[in-house]
This record gives sequence, structure tokens and C-alpha cells, in this order.
Amino acid sequence: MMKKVLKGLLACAAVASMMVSVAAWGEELTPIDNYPAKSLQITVPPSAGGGTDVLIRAMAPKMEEYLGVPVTVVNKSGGGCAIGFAAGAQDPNDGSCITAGVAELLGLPYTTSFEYTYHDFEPICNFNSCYGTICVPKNAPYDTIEDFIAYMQENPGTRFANSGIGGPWHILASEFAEDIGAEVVHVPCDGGGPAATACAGGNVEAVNVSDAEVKTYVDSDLLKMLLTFSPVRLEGYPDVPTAEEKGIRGADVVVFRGFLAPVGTPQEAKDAVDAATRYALADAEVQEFMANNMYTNNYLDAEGFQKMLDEMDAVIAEQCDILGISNAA
Amino acid sequence: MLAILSNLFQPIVILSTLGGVIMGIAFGAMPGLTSTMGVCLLMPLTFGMDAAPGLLMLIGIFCGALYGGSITACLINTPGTPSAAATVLDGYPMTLRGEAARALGISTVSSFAGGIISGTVMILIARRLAMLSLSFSAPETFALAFFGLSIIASISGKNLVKGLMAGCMGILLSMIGIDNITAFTRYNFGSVFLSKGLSFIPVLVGLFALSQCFLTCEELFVERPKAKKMKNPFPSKEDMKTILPTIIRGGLTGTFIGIIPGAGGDISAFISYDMERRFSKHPEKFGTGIPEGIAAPESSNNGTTGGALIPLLTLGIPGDANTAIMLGALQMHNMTPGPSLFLTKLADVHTIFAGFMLANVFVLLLGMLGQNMFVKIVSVPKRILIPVIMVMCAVGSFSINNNFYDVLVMFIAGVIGYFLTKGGFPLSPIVLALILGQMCEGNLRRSLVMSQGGISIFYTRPICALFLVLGTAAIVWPLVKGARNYLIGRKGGRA
Repeated sequence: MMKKVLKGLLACAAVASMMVSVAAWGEELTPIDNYPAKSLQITVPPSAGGGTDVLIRAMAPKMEEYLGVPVTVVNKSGGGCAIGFAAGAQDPNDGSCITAGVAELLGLPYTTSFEYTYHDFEPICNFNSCYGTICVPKNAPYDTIEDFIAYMQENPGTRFANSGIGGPWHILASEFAEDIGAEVVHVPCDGGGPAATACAGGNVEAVNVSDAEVKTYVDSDLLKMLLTFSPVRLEGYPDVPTAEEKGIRGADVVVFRGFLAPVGTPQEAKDAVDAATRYALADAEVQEFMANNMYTNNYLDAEGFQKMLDEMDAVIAEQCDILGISNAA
Repeated sequence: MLAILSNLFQPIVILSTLGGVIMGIAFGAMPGLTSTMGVCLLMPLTFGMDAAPGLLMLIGIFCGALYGGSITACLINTPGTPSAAATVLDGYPMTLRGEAARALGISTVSSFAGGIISGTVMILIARRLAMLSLSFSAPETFALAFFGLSIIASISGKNLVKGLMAGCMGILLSMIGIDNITAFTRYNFGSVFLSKGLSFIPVLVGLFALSQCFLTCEELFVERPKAKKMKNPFPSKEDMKTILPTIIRGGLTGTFIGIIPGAGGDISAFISYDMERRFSKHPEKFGTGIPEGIAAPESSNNGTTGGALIPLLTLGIPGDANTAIMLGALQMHNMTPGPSLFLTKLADVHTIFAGFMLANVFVLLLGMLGQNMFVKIVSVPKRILIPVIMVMCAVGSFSINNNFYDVLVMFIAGVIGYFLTKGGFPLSPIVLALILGQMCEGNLRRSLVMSQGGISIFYTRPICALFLVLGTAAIVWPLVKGARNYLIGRKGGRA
């Protein structure tokens, strides 16, 4: 059964890649034929069928077209991404293996006894990022972020639902509260959806998960969005101010999706994967897929990605300490 | 109406629904492969389709898999999906009597009817029921899980004490991993693999399927009674009469549980089984292979399908993991769920409603057609069947996360399950407690965080209070009854 399905998928992918010619924008990238390894395996630590997996599977055929070697996506999930990252860090560093880097990698060493950190990888590039929001129930008495901040400062113990203990949105809520000088109570839920549901039902005062996770709630008039931590205003919600406009911290907590290579991977291979990612992001089909599924293109090169990782790691270290959830010895 | 039918009877719509149901049944029947995995894997295929056929394919998988799980549950004592864990209780004993075909017939009809009942509820009052999912927050979910744990008594079989011990074991197992409120790591023995807890499916597959393989090895050369072939795959008139009220109650319970976010077919099947046993005139016969024992969980788990779709379509809130993936598929097709969906895409919504019913009809047809083929599994010689099942257990456990750690968990669970069965411990309470333990504990503590330590949150909220009272009554009532019988008996003795 599985084999049949996979065969079908492969056939679809093959046909699609043959039919569609590539419309690159900005720069011209022509497929290469000298990739240093015979194949490329992408290890995906988050669960199969999740947001990261689906996006990478959509990009993989285009990356294969550029690199000229077979690109396979392998799901190694479990242990809150720990299993996939442990495997990825030990992969051969000859350019035949890369790992999908997601935000969990930064949190794991702080909340568990996980022995690998992002220093065990070398960043290649980042291709997609999600930012937090501040949402409140539709019937809440405040309509602007200023009103809500004033409310929070007057009422210590405002409850914030997040998507899980020690996760990026938990860190973000803590950083936000510290920044505006309010005391909040964190309510960890089993994922972003349940957190939004808790807020929509009026069981907590606010939820600060990503715009993709609260979209349906905002659109069906259950929640109203007061703030986004995205560096630019969100396409679907042009009236919602950004944190930067309001001078609020928090844009440094990012649910990022990028590629990481094991330490010691040849520069030539990393550059080729970076170019292949840009090639895929420029493809019309991938772009349509990303637009339909609310993925934004947040491309960052290796240097920018490294800077983002360093900044966010510092925030996590600081907030885990404040929250008292640091398990690292 | 005509427009809906003409939309529905396009070949592509019918074919994709049928294809979904067939794949769903296959995914459901294989231990380790679940409906969620099927929906995940097939979702990319639906990207190229129109909205209605694409979604109906996913809905077909969802409905088919919940039915498919019961096939292996009845025939080889292995729930193909967690939702079929309760079906094992009466389905397998019936097969052991040589009535495999009867068990499957009942399961097929119950699954079909459960789906149709939930579909009817969804079509008639979806929008009014949708708000129910919002009123379910941490305290209510805790109360439901607490109520669910009281079911352990019902599924303990002959020995209540051993059942309770098994239940406690399940609760302990559910505590492994990072605790969700303070991030403290429990019982992981320094292993990163255990830091997020045990994966549920490998434990389920090991406990039921692998331990059953070990047990069967002992009696390798004792032949089971041959499954009687049935000319008419439909359950007999007497069976239908017995199970009809059960099916209606099961379907409605399933729909209700399906609406609640975070609670799905596995929990609802156990709750329905328990309800039927409590209200039955012959509760002692449950667990020996009676029709109601199959009809209750099967109608209930398929009832959750329509229930889970209600908050998804009307509010955009997924009721379980399957509908969470479907939410992505809906958005992919530019159908943002919510009240506006019913205004802007009414035709598509109606086609989905009609297609949901069609998917359930396919479940019935395929179940009936395939019955005699499925039953043949029972007559496969055990020395061939057992290695095949063992391989499937390992492959199924591996394929969940693509790691061998889950296979190891499955194997250990199998060995433990074997010795527990030898010692007369029932296995279902472990599974139930493993499902509910985390839900109960996590939500209890989440409620206390919400209320900042006050316990009034549990009795000032009506739904929460109701379930807590029901749960307490379920635990206390048998004790009261026992004490009364004892007192009456003593008085009688004196006179």
C-alpha cells in the first residue's frame, strides 16, 4: 500500500518536473552537474505530514532538478525532534546529508538532556519563518495593543495560552511580558490550535501563537489580532501593527525553517544546496504551493541564518532561566 | 437538491470517495498504520484535484480506516487502529467460537450506521452544535478523562483488582517524558528518546498483536474452529434487533465526543462500550463475544467522524488529528472554514455533506463484499500467519517515525503483554489509561494554572461538574450496591 502511494507520488513529481519550465526571478540559476556527492538526503525531524515536511517535499523535486542528483526526504521524528537532530548531527559530512533546521533544535538543549546544539551543525540557509501574534477573544474590551498592554500592567496574572512548555511561543510570551513589565501566567496547551481554542472560548485572556495557527479563528470572528511580531505587516491583516512599529521586543523569536549541514561539510556542497533552495523558491509551482498554504518566503543566507540562530538562542537561554524551566546542567 | 446530486454523481467525485474508503480500510486494518497516517500520505495527491473530490478522498480514508481497524481486531485480536482497541473485547471471543463472519457483519453494519447517524446530526444541526467545542476547555477535558478512567472497571473482565492494577500501570506509563506544565523530565532514565514520552501506537501493537503471536505459538498445532461461511453477509434478524438501540446510542455518543477537540474514536469507543455494559440486562456477558459488545464501539468510533467535521467546517477548529490535516487541505483549496464557508461555498459544503454519506455507504458495501475474503485470514495456518503478523508489527511500528526505537518499544510491550496475559491481567485497561492518563493529568494541572490554584473552576462550570459527578457516581455506585447486597444478605441470614 505504502509503496503504491509512494510510487504514485514519485510519478506525479516526475511528470510535474518534466512539464514545468522554470521561471526564475531576480537571478538566473542554471542546474549544475558537479554536486560533490552522489545523492542528497534531507532528514526531517518534525513529524511526517506536518508543516515542515510538506513544504520540504514540495521543494525537493526542484532541488533535485538543480543539483542533478537524487534528493530524498527522510522523516526521522519522535522525541520532540530530538531523534531527527541526533541522527542529523551524526550524518556523514561529505555533502550527502543535510537536516531540516527548525526552532525546536534551539529549545531542546535547555529543556531536556539533549546533548546536541545548533553548534553541531553549520547553517546553509533559511527559507521560511513564522512569527508570533497577540490575539484576544473577539468580545474582549480592548481593541488596540496599547489598551491591552495597559490592562496587563494593571492586572498581574493575565493568562497567555502557548503551544507547549519551553516552545518558541512560550519563550515569546515571557519575553513580551518582561519587555512591557507585566506579570503573566503561562498556560501551556498541546499545540497551537488547542491554545487558540482555549482563548476563543474565553478561558484565557490572550494567545500568542503564529498567524497561520490563528488564521481560521480570526476569520471566523472568534479572535481578534492586536499585534504581529513579524518584521513586516501581514498580507492578510494589513491593519494589525507590527511589534517593531510599536517598539516592542519579540521579533527575535522565530519559528524558522532552514537547512543545516553536519559540521565539516565542504563549502562547495553547502553553496550548491543554498543555490538549489533559491532555485526551488523561485519556481512558479513552488511559489503557488507556498501562497496557497500560507508559507512565506523568508530566505536568509548562511550568515543571516547564523545571526538569527545566535540571537534566538540568547533569548531562549535568558527566558528559560526566568521561567525556571531550564533542565540543562 | 438536484444540483447537489449532480455535483455528487460526477465520476471523479465518486471514484475519489471510493478510492479513499478502500485505502482507508487497508490503512485501518494494518496494525501500526492509522487513519492519520493515511490522510497525511494522501493529502499531497489531493492538491491536484478540485476541492470537493480532494476532501472527499480524505474523508473516505478517515471513515474507512475507523472501520478497517475492526477487521483485524475481530479476526486476530489486533486492533488495527487505537479506535478499535475496545472492539477486541467482544470481537475476538466471537471469532474464537467460529463466528468470525458474524462479528464482521455486526461491525460493518454498526460502523456504517454510526457514520450515517453522525452525518445526519452534522447536516441538521452542525452550526448550533459547533459552539459546544468552544465550551470544552481544560477543566471539561479533565472531567471527561476522569469519567473515562472510571470505565476501567467495565473492561477489567473477571478480576477487578487485576484490572485496576493494569490501569495504574497505564497511568504510570503515560507519565513518562517531559511534564507539560513545568518541563520536568520524568522516568526517562537520561534517554532523549523517552523525553517526549512513549509513542502510543507501538505500545498498542506490542501489547495486543505481538503478545497474541507469542500466545498463539504455544498452541501452534491446535486448530481453531473453522470460520463458518455465511451466505448472507448481513447480520441476522435477531442480531439486528439486539444491536439497533446500541448502534443509535453509540452513534450519538460518538458524534458528541467527536465534536470535543482532542477526544476521538479511541475514547468514544470505550465510553460507548462501558455505557452499554452498564445499562445492559446482562452485563456479565460482555467480554464473552456478544453482538452489543462489537456494535457499541464500532458505531461510536465511526460516529466521531461526523462529529469531528462539525467544528472543523463551522469554526475552523479541528476535532482531532485527522481533521487537523484536513484543515490544511481545506485552506489549500481556498475554502477557509468558518461561518463564511457556508455563505461563499455552500455548493461545495453540500457536496461534502452528501459525499460523507456516500463514503459511509461505500464502507457498508465494501465491508459486505469483502467479508468472506477477510474471514479467510482466520483459516490461514497459524505457522504462516504468525510470522506475517510479527513482520507487520515491526514494519508498522517503524513506519510511524522511521526509527528503531519504536520497534524496540513495541517488542518490549509485546513481551510484557505476554506475561501479563499469562498472569490473568486484562490488557485493555493499560491502553485506556495510557490514552487518558496524560489527558487527565495535563488538563487537571492546566485548569489549576488557569484558575491560579482555585478549585472552584471544577464546580462552577456545568459541563465539567456534570462529568465529575458522573465519574464519581460510576466509581461509588458499585460499592454502594455491593454494601447494600451484603447488608441485605446478612439480614436474610439472621431471619
